Amino acid sequence: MILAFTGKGGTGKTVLAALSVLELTERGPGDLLVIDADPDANMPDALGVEPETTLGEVRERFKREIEEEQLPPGFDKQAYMEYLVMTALHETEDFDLLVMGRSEGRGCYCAVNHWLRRVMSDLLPEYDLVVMDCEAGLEHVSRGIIDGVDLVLIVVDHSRKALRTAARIVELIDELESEVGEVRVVANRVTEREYRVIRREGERMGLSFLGRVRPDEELVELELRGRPLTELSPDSKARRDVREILSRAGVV
Amino acid sequence: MTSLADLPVDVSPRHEGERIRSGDMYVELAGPKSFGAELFRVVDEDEIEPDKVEVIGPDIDEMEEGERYPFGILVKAAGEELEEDVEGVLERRIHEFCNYVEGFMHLNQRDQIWCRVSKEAAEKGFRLEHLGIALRELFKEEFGNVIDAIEVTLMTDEERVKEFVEQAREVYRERDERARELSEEDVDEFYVCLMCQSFAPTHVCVITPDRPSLCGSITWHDAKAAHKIDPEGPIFPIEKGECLDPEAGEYEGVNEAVKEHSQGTVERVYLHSCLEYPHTSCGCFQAIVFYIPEVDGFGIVDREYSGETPLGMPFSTMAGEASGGEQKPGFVGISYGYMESDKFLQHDGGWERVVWMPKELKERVKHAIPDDLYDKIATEEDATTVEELKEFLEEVEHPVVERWEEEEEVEEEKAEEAVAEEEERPVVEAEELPVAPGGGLNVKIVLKNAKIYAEKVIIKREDREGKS
Repeated sequence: MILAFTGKGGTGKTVLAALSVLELTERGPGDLLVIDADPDANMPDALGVEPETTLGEVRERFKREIEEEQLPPGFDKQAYMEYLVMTALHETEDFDLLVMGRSEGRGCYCAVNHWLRRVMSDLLPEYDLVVMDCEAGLEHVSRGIIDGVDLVLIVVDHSRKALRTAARIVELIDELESEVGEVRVVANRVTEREYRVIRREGERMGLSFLGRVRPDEELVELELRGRPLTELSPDSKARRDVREILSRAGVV
Repeated sequence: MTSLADLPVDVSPRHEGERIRSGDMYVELAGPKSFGAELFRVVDEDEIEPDKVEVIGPDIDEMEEGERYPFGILVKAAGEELEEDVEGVLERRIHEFCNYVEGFMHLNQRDQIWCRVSKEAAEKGFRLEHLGIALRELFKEEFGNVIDAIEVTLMTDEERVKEFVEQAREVYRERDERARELSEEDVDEFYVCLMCQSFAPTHVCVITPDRPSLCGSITWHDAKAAHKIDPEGPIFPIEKGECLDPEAGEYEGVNEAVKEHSQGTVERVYLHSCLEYPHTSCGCFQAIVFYIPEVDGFGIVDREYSGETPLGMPFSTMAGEASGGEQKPGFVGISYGYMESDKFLQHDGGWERVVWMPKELKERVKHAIPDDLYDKIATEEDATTVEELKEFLEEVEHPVVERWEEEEEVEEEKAEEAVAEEEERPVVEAEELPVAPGGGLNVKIVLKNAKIYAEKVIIKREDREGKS
């Protein structure tokens, strides 16, 4: 199953994605891949890990080596891409993490992405669960690097702007060639009253809500001190709410 | 002798693609944090101990769990019909065969291999010797018709692996040099790539040993490998067919393939010309060759250069003009690799007609440019307009300058012809014109947008003649 978090920047989608990872490693199935697909996000920090490189970097390296003709004739580039993706895969005991990193630079990525797509389509099914943190444009899904998502959770906060972004994301998903299963909205850092208002307005825009995460002082404190979210206690409000949402979505 | 069935782990293609994650791994062999290599060598029968499998250095049971070790795989084979030039192809099978082994992961190739042994396999009693036996048996099974004797050596001893990697690199180097020398005459098959048809639906990229894909990503060797891995993929072989014009690079097979895969839009391609029946261009090309009529020579501009060209437009504008999969005489998209071919634009005169390149590009492909021409090719520092370019070329006595004089004469003749042509009117003009071939042939010929010119038109009534 591939679960993707997306939404307007600042709504806390990376936090919710990271908290989901914590839930899944503690109680869910073992084979978990986390993909940080938002160049502006900081999933590794949230999870307290330091990957050595990103997929974007290895893709650039590959492209440079092709352009500068450093690769020998007959070198199997598909196998090389597989190797490069593995170098970018950060393995921990609880999960593997792949940071997509920078997006494409100048020039032609047709061939490089073609190989990458093949590697990814072999890699992803090896995990029981894939959790992705995506920017609002869903770049890697739209380019077919990640083909198909089972559940998209669009994160909003109390603002109308976030709701409008959510509506745009739904439109964009409709236009994608990739298979996308369910698309649901999750409100983050909202009180009961705020959630009622947001939900009413959102449903009028055709959005379907899955639940909300309450404001959490413990979480704010961790973020203030620059600590990873792994330190958040399992019975904190945010973690309990995320657990509730995941179980409602049928993920755990 | 031990056979595959006697091994403690299963050996079968269904284990291919098994990835061993760090949590499930017993030990890691070679890989980015260690070193190693693999090598397939064709040797004489007396240099081989048939069926021998040797492990030099600690085997799995002598390794510490969770650790990393250097690793070398050497396969030596002999056979009367076995020739050195298949080494690369057979070496590539080491990857595949290793991955048939349950609990063994093999990534990449050459001196960049990365292997892992799973905890489960180690517990079952899997040893490197078993990997050696699997390789030996699989090679014999698959290539028994050419391999008469085979010997496998696996190394984990640090010093031995170090030596081996050096030795392997030397062999790779020699092998690559040979491969780079390959040219269109040496092969029977070319490849086409249709990857770019999603945005250039009539673009058929023809890949020959002299001409890599326009994006520079796929050489002839790559295409061959890609097709083997993904036979249903967008890259596949075509028969070269009869060579209709060696200088232009016109091949029967290429024309047929291009016609078929461009849905009939492009019927004829000169692989080595920018002016006549040029290869189509996708949008991914690394550089464009463009004809500059005023000097009767070519400019080349690559994607890296963002300034103006003597044609008065930068790469991006020109790329827009030339791309999309149409044949546009005077423009042709190319890869850097093609500039290194001896056949580079040979139909149009090759390097002798190249008059302008961005400085950086010129520097980059310096080794491919004939020495005596290097200083005669202008860069943006010498000329960015046609006038400046003309002046520069005259000053350095570029070979195209000689053509100018010849051309002046030719142009006068042409002008006369043109006048004559204008007076001529077609005797028949029709959007669709059926033609009866006669002679009892059962075919129908329709000429579309036909214009027929004739010196004289004679109309006879056939029925009368027939009766008389």
